[in-house]
Amino acid sequence: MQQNNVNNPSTNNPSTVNTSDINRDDIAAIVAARQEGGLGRTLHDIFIVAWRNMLIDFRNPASLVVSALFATSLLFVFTASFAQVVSPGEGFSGYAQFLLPFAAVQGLLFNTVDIGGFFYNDLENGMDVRLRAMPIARLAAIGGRLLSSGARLLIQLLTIVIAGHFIGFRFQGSPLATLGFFLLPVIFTLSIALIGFYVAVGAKSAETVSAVLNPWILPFTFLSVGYVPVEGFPNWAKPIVTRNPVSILSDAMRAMASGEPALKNVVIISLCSLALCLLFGTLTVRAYQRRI
Amino acid sequence: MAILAKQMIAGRQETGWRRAIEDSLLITGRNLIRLRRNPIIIVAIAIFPIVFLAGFWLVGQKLMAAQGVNYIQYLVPIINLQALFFSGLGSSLMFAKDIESGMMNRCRAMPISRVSTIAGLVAAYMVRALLATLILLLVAYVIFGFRAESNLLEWLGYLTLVVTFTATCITGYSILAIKLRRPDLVNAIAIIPYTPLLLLSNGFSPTENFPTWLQPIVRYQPVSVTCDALRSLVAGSDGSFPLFCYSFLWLIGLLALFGFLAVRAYKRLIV
Repeated sequence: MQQNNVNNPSTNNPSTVNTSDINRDDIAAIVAARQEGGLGRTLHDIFIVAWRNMLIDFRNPASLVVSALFATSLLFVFTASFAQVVSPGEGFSGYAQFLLPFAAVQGLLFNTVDIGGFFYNDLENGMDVRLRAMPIARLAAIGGRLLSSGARLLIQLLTIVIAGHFIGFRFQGSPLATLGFFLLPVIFTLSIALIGFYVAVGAKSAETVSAVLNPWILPFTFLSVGYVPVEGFPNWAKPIVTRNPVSILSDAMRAMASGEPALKNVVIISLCSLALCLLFGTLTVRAYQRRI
Repeated sequence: MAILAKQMIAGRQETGWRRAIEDSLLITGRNLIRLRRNPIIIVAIAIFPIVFLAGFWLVGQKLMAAQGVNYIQYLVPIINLQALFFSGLGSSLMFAKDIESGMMNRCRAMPISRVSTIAGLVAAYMVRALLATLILLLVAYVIFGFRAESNLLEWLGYLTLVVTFTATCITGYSILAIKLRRPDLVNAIAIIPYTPLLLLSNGFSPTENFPTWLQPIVRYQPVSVTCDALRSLVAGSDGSFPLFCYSFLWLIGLLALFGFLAVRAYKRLIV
């Protein structure tokens, strides 16, 4: 392909020298300079697309701000309304310490619908066609969206934690545990968002993503030790509740926030995320390559 | 000649009640077709409210029973109001899309009644809200053991509040659509009233569980008052009539205010 492209101008133009004079090594050098693969190049292109996505978020901050504030408002309202139900007679700050990790996870998970929708818009509004016509890494559209979504989730998480500070949430663990508190939910949510990506690649309308994800996200968040401890559930639901990844993630974050050992739960969630990433990452990339 | 001209003008008459109703029904039909062609609507109408009902019931029933609250009887009214509220939210999205896509401009350029665009939107989403209510009550009755002790009059009161609440939500949300005009912006912002109105109410948790300084707000805000009225109507208790009146007054007042603002904003809307 590339060879033809380089040769075409000379064959169209009779005044140039014979095409056989062109050194094949020179062509190879030109092709190599236009090389689109390679890890460094891929990361670089992903970063550019991610930065482009984030600029759009920053210049139109309504969606970012509202989703962060919505999760925060859920934290406040549920602390206000359920603290006395879950632990009667005790203060509100103890419940805030219990609820915040889950409220954060829930807020981030709700976001996966938006993120899938953004990716659908990337594919539909011509951005993807443009990227495909440009000499950049094929992975840039997917990777860039994933990276900018991670930044978006991190901003949200930070907002919730700062807001939670006012109602009594405190980090009592090591700096490493605190770092884990921020990274683990973002990684897990991104692996769920990849399901949304896979749906978006094959979707015919933006609503499809929310229709596929929403009915699952809600039961997952309700059936977890989020609002109430496991003792609050009926007996038949307890095994489901304790094995729900949202419960395990919330427990891991609670332990990391209060400086208790969390390694087992952290490993489980990391493996879950890895499995989801491998499965839906592969499916998404394959479907994306076959698109158009 | 003059008579013929008058006859022709009369034939093209765009005002009058009959014309307004006919045009509104036409637009309603068009909106209903749009709703029906979108298969996702099943999720919004049937699955969403039931998932919320099941979720809160699972999370809360044991703890609420400790407080002496039969949670399923307590929960159904707020889940119902939430379904109506989301119907209003959905209407603002469709309205904003109509403004953006030029449908509103087309309606303005056509010899149809001015009110029909808004009335058609309200009527179509009213159908959606009533369907959601029906499905929710049926599922709550069959699966969750929800029972109503109401007589016919109390059911009429329940229905009246449901219809008024829906109309208030749709009208209120239409202001958002008219002012913002961009569907993506409406989509991002429309969820904001959900927390203070629906969650900061006595719908999910009794007022006494809130911090003391919040309790007055929680007790007297419109959603709480309507929830109280619905619960009392469902229980068929004696005090339901004054509660119905408080709620109805709140909702009609809000509806009048939102209606005034919406019509004013709509008149200024030149896309």
